[in-house]
Amino acid sequence: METTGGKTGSGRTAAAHRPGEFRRYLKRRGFLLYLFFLPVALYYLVFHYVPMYGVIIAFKDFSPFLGILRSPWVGFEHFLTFFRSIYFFRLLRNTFLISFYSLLFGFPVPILFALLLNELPGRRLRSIIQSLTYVPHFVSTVVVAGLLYTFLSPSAGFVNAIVTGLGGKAVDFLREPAWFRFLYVLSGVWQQMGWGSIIYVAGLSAIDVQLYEAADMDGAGRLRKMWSISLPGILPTIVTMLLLNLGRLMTVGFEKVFLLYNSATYETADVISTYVYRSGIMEQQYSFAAAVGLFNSVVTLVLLTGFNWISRRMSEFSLW
Amino acid sequence: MIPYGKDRVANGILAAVLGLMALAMVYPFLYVMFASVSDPLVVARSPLLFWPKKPTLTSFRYLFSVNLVWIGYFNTLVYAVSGTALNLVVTMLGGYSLAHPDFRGKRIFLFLIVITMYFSGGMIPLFLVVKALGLLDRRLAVILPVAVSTWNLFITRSYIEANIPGELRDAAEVDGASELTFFLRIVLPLSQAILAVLILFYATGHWNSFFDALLFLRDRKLYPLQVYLRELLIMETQMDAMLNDAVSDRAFLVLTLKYSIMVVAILPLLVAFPFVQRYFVKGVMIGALKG
Repeated sequence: METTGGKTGSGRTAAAHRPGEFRRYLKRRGFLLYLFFLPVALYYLVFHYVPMYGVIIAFKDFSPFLGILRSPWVGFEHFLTFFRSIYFFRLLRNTFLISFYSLLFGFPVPILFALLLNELPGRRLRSIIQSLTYVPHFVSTVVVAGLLYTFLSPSAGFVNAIVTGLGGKAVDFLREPAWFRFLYVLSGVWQQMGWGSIIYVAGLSAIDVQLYEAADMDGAGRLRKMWSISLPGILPTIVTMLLLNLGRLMTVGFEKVFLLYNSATYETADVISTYVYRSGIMEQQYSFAAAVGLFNSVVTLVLLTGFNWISRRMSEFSLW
Repeated sequence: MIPYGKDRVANGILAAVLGLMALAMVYPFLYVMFASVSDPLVVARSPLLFWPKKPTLTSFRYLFSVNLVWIGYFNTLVYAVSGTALNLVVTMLGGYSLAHPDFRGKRIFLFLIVITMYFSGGMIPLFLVVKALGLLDRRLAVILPVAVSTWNLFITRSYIEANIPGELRDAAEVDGASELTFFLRIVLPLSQAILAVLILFYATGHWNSFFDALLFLRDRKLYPLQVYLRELLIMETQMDAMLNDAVSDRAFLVLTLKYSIMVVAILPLLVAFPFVQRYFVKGVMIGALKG
């Protein structure tokens, strides 16, 4: 994170902490720099740090009338209620499985696509194909869900038109628990393949051409070059991206699940964040929902820090 | 240049496979466009469309018979324009100060910002904060909580660090330019590329944003387009208002209506995309270089 040297201008000197020096610093440019930084500071304070403080309601019986401070403490009661509830295991399983399958299928596809694209002669054709694959990334989750609802509609969608045309029976895909994860992962791969491949495509184009030329002299075939030059060339990037993604294993984006699930598919679709929304916002059990959310945050924190630590040791690359 | 394989057959197959993949990425949108202007009954019978069949604008007539979509569009425009303007000011000022070699406390501030990438209070405490600030059901509720994105702040900082040479700063200082003059007259003009990247990232973020509105807005008059889209596409709550005079083949008409709703929602993006996509990629690359 920290890369700038203090070489330019009047950087921090040994005198930095002498009394009066800080006042001179403020006068010189410090005041203005702090003024520039003020909106950012306020934003993080109000919308990140105050909610972090507010999370103590997870250990209280929060009542809007009493406020955070005067609401009574209850310790870990809400957590215990959650761990004992029939939802706990189901939410944990669904959250994990949905993000695990997303990673399992969503992670390799952009790499394969980048490797194939790298083999295609014709600069213009390559860039057109690559640009087309970005498009789904910029479409809103609501529209992606809308595409699924219309294409899979049991009464008039074209998928079921094919199914019945082949003599099958129309399937109400979005009300079948067995289909939920498949549809979630498939639409995710579709939406993110092109965008996710950018970093690999860039990595592949940075590989030294001489390596390929030398391999040609040695009579290496195309697959051989892909396997022995292209893939190792982006391996550090792959490892880094994998570790960072592993850190997010217990986070499932709220939006797409919320838009695609319904009471018929809770069994396979309900995840921690959607449960927090239902119990907290819809049923206004603020403290209980905050506890469930905090549980998820802590698990994520542990995973992120752990995998980030491994990443830093293995690839000298980390989030910070 | 990479020495590409000379095998014509292999290259042909490769081009075909990649072409099909690219087609799979955009065909759903083409299908939606063709289906929205085709006869509903024909669409239901023929699964694949490569052009409109029995073209008709019936569904658009039904769609615009109620003004939901326009209200949503208007609100989304308001949020996107004002939100992005705020995003730009805050992010540029913050990115500049965090890139400044003589910004005291930088390490601590950066550390405190990075922490928020690892840990958050979660949905409920954020909701209570927004509620306590009296922002529920106010337009600011979908603007202020997303005033800065950490990723964008960091790529702005990297960009300024890499593109504003220290010598320039020294020279400006010798000439007696204040920090403010330097920022306005030197840094901003040299930051056009990052400004374009920020505008695109933030604006698409606002355009596609759905969750904040769901959480913080109850007043239907304030709903952005995406919330109305959910009602129309998924909950089908507004269909009756639009289709009150349609009696036969309702299911098919509902579907075609949904296609035309999606066209209205994605057309601006599809039109603008070819012209702006290189800036998106640029943004990713600035971020990737820095880590």
